Amino acid sequence: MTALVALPIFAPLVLALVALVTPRWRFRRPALGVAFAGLFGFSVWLMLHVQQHGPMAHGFGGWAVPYGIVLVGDSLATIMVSLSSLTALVAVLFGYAEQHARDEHPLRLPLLLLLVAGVNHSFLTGDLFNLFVAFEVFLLASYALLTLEIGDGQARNALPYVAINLVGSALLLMSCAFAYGLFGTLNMAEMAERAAGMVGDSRLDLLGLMLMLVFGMKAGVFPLYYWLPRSYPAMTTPILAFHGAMLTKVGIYALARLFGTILPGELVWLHEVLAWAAGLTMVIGGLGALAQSRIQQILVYHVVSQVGYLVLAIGWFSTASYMALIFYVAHLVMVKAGLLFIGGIVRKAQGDDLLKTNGGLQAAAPMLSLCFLALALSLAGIPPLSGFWGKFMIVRAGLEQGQVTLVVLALVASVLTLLSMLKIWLGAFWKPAPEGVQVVLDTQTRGMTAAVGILVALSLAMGLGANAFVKLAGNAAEETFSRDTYGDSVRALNLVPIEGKRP
Amino acid sequence: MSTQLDLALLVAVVIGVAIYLCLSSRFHRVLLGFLLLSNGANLAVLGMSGDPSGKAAALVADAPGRPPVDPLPQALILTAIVIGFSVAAYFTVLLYRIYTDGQNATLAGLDDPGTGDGKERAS
Amino acid sequence: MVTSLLWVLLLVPWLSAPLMVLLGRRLGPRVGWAALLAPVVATVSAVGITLAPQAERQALPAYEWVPQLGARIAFMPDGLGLFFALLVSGVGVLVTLYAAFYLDGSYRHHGRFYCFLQLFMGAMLWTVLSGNLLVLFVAWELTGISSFFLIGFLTEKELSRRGARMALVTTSATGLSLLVGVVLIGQLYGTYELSAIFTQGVPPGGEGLLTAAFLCCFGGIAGKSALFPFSYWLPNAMAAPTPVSAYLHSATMVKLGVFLTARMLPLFGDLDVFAPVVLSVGLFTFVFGAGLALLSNDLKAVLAYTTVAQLGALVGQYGWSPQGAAPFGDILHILNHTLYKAGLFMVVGVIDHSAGTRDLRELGGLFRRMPLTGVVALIALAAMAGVPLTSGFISKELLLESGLELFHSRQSLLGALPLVALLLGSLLHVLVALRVAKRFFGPMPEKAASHFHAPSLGLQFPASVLALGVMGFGVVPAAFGSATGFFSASPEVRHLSLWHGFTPVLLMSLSIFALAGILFAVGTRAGKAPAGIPRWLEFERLFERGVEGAPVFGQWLDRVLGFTRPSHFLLLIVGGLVTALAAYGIFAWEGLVQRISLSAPLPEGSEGEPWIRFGACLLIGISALLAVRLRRPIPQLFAVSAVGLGIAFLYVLYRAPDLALTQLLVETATLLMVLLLVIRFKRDRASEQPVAPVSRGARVIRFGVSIAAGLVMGLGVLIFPNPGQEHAGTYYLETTVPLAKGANAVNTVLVDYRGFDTMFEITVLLIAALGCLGLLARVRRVGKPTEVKVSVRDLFPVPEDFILRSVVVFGVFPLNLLAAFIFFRGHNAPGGGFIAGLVSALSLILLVFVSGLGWVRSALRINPVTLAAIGVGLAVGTTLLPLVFGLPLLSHLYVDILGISLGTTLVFDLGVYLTVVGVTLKLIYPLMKSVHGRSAFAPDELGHFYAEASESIDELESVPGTEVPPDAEPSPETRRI
Repeated sequence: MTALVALPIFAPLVLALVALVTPRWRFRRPALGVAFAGLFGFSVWLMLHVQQHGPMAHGFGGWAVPYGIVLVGDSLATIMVSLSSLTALVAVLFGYAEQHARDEHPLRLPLLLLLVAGVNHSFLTGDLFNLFVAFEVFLLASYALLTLEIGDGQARNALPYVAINLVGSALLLMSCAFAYGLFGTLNMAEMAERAAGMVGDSRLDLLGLMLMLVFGMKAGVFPLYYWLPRSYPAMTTPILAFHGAMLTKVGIYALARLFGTILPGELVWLHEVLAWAAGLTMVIGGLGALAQSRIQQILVYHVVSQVGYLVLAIGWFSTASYMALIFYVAHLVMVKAGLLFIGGIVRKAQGDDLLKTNGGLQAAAPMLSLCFLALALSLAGIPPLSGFWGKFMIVRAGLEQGQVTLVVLALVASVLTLLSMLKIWLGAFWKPAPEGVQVVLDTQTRGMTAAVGILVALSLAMGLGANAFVKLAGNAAEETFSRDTYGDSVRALNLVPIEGKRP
Repeated sequence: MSTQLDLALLVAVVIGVAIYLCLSSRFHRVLLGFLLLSNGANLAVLGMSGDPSGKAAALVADAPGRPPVDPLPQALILTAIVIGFSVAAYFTVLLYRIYTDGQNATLAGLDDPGTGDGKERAS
Repeated sequence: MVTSLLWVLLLVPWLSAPLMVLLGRRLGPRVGWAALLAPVVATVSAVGITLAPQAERQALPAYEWVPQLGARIAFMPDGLGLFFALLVSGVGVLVTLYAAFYLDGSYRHHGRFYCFLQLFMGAMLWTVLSGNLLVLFVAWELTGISSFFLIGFLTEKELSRRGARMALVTTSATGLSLLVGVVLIGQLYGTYELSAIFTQGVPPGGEGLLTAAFLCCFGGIAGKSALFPFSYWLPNAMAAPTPVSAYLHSATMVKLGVFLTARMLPLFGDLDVFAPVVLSVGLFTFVFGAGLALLSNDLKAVLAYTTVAQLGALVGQYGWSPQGAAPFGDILHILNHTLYKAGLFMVVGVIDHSAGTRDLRELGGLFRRMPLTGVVALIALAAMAGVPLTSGFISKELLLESGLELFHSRQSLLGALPLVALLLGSLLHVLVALRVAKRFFGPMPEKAASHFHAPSLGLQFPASVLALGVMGFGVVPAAFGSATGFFSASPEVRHLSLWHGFTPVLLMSLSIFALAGILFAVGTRAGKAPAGIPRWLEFERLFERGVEGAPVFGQWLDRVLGFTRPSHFLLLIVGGLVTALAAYGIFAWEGLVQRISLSAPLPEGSEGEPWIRFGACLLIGISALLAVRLRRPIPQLFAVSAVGLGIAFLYVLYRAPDLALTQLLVETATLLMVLLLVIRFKRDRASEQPVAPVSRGARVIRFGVSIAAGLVMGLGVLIFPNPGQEHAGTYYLETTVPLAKGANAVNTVLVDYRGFDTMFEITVLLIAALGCLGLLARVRRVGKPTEVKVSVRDLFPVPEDFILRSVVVFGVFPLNLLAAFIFFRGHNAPGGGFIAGLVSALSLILLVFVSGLGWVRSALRINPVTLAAIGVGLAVGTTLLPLVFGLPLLSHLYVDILGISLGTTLVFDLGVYLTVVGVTLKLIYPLMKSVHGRSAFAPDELGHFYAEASESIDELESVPGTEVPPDAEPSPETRRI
């Protein structure tokens, strides 16, 4: 039963192998589409189940905790898993609409599945070194996707991404080693227990700093975000959307896990550092996004600014702020993915997404414009869309702690967001199309818009029916902050006797 | 379990050299830098298994008199080596591809604008 | 009853809005008549609620929305709310009627227009009737958004796009400040329910927070009502079609600031800062706006600035409210302004429509051409000037009166200033009114005359209704007073009459008129129109500069941060990481150093072996440093692999035979790969390509970063081992034989205790191979690939040597035997699937060197990637199998065959073996071919891995057959393909 928690990892993995050896199968697309939908459905079920019955843990090989590797699906993890499955599903559908089966690169779906497997793995694992392995899985998959369909001279855009993640991996590996040396275990729950007794030992702080840097780098926090805007735009739209929406969030999740579950709450100075780095990230990212001249680049650079919001919530480190964090992540994944998809549609409809050469889309494509509006306004935090609730919760959490400066920074960042969204709206939708540029809408673009529609509907639901999602986020935040819930669910594995292995 | 100065110094040297090479602007030097970096990281992991002097390998039945070394860091290193190998392979091919695209084996080729925005893509 | 009426009132506009779009497709301009329904229904229900007994309006149900955040659908239909509801819906009727005539066939997207208009109406109604501060804020922002679309309705005009952006950004930026205020109030009172907030007093010690909340809220108010310094957006919002200006920017939306001031009066009214802030900002805006109105020439801009001025007065009047109670006549002023200003805007629309211009300098003699509109306009202007027998007169008298009272009440500068401001402002208003009125007489300039066509009666009708209102209230002030008093929250009740005898106020207004007359006469004598608003007063310039400047600043920031030069990215990132770590290392030096616990250099029983280790470390370190010093690539490469091999030896000393073997083989494989790359570079002389000269500073930084990185990690190795702690390794050693059925603890950890890591580790291998496939083939642009036969010689300069060949060919078999041996002993002794796999793979690669790729591929038959996939599949299968027996994942099963216990661990290891073989081959083959300028894949593979044919990524292929001589410089056109 508890083995179900491993399904979000194994299902994509097995499917990837199948898809790899059957590149020519006629029903490949529909079968995989159904599989993705099923995966999404299952992860939502898992999320709700965990909400009711508490975290679900599974120990590999039935080894006694903390000696074997465990998977832990608590609220936070399962929420993230559902988000990644959702994004993957929409990305796949979008890809189906965008390309004919015969034009699709046969390695795209297998690699995407492997990417999903790695991402879900890093959400679910309860073991630090295993987390390192999971990171490598999805990183290599993302390298591969990044360079799979590149044109001439684009390979070099992948170099910063790859090289920096190599550095990050080395640092993470050493951090794992140091953690083992320090705690004598790699199991997160056990680590948390042993770390609690080591408060004041500066080795703990150093280790925390190292891990914070690594995860911050994966998340794209200032000043570690250089790789992000440069590397992403070289990808094809579905892949780009999945990366922009999900991959930085893995780093965010790892940070939330690190501070919420593993490290003791006494490391206040780390929280402070994180919060201020986040403040800078928000504003600098916002300004940088505003400076771009292409839709996709604005959106991708804007990922950085939003990462700042999330990390800020982590740095404030209170139940309220974690609640804001979880809600905001969910909102952001949907909205950002949707916007990146729309950028792809614009590129397809007008041949390019350079704002100078775009225009006239509102008149030509009302549905597309509606979708963009819903998402963009939501991103800008206009009530009653989902972004507003996230912003509201973050402001509230910040003011509760009297963090005036950072709150002001956050608000400045949201004004910058509004400006960059307006830049796109005025440039591509309101402005009449320049001479020679026409809007080509065909069944493909319509199908793509329909795929985006899923995300729009969800984000609208999240805004108007915020209650359910807020409740979800609230529970997850409380669960994360009552550290015992996580540890107990892991230690409870030892109560199930297995001959020899568990007394 | 206690630690040894020699290994620490070795880690310092290898990682220092590795970073220095990584920061170079020629492809092959960068590549070698990363190879060294993964080796250095592995050595750092090795350091966690403590001073082997007078210890036995982690093979039960091998020299029962002496205490065996901690097997976990070794296992971690094995995994790390394999992953490092995969990454190194990918990175080599990536550099090769970049080179064949631009006929430029230095990082300088990265700076000139255009294509960075992903304008033209494989159709 | 009231509840259902409320729901009708609040939902009808929003329900009918989408219908407008649908109808608009069919009806075109005539959709305006259909659009009338919603506002009429709204008005009726609003009246119904107003007539309902007080008690019924008190007890209303509330509905939870987001309870955890305190968002609750609650209503507050008190006098204030109802008055605004009536205002919004009533004026809505007139404006829709007006628009039905105004938006003729020359406009497009009529449906969309009415849709936005009614969305806006709905948002307004929600704002004014909501009893929950959070919901109020939500609706407040919605009005801003819907107004954005109305202002930018004429999207093809640059001006309206800019105006819309300015309005939206300004109002929502100030809206954020309002949000902060709202959140602060919520923190202070623990609820957003207005009724609850008003009933409970200020919590002890909460004054400071409340003041902050007030200031934040006032920011929002000033933004929405275009008070100083946010007054710039309103004139620019006039790019909207005139009905919008009449509705949003005079009658309703801009009055939200006034509404909120009145709404929050019970809360903020008795703060010490309240009166000064509200009075000063409000009344300064009063004068400021009137002044700008006098200076500008566009008729719409004139009206916009007078609106700004009036809004200032309307907000400011609350400044002299006696301790949080509403001042007498607040509603009266609002109503008065709405009546005449909406009317004036409609008139301007008419003039624009028929004369084709709104520039005061180009207008004249309108009265004769359109008498009805002329009359209406004159009445409205009179009201603006405060001429007796118009509602404006009453309003102005009251304002002056209260100003005078304030002056008497506190004999101070603060007391005097408002009065002065009021007098000055009214004087300016009169002047503006005169200036506009003048245009209705005299000759009409021919430019306008040429274009002129008489307006339809329907277009003039709505304004006339408003004008009637102005007159009516002006003639019967008592009715005016009581009607507005009914809605006002002010406790004071006063009977208004036209004539109160010679009061000082009367004298004041008389003198104002006199002075204005003289000034105007002088001005016309001088006979030159004002030169327009001086640049330094056009704040929109500043705004635009800011909006346009932000991107530039962003670009500058990018440059400064080095983002535009990705060749520096690594230095920046690594520098950032190392600096942070080193900084902490220095900061916490003592705490870290005391953790170092060095063992004795020569512990007993070590037989001096540490010396060997020191020696090994020394050699490795030296070869590492050599790798830096050496310039030429191939020696450098060998130095690096020397480090690798040395480390393999070090592993032996560290009692890690498995590691040593693996390291040895992996180093060999890596060496092969990198050698291929380096050989290619060498052939093209790429390794001598010039690099950008590195500045001295950069080199120093690079040195520092590298050294710091090394030191930090070395320190980590010294401090982190924690002897006190119980380590997991001991458990593995104890249980490996009894539980994991293997003597080699390292191997059991790999395949059993932490088998999950291994499973994904080989997945990583597979993914890496796939990634390389993607890199080594680019989607072909034309035709099918031409497979060039790759002869042995092309791959490596191997001499056609019989002995070598035979040695290799016969060496392959024993090598694979060895592999099998290593594989099977793995579980109990050094070895295992991975090492075995590498051995086999390397043996096959050797085979390729001597007998060529084609031969080996045909001999092998199975595609390497399929092999690898099968390998991973085996591992995954072994992981999932135990589920069948109800055991946890990856718990291995054992069977005893002839006394040897064989376990699924073997299958797992077999998976590892296959993956390694497959991946290594897949990595090496294509790379070999591609490096030598061949297409990386044979056609059969293309069929397998590429939907389209792929071609060599190498420009050598572009001219088949012709080999580029090694020393040839790649020609420019082959640089970019």
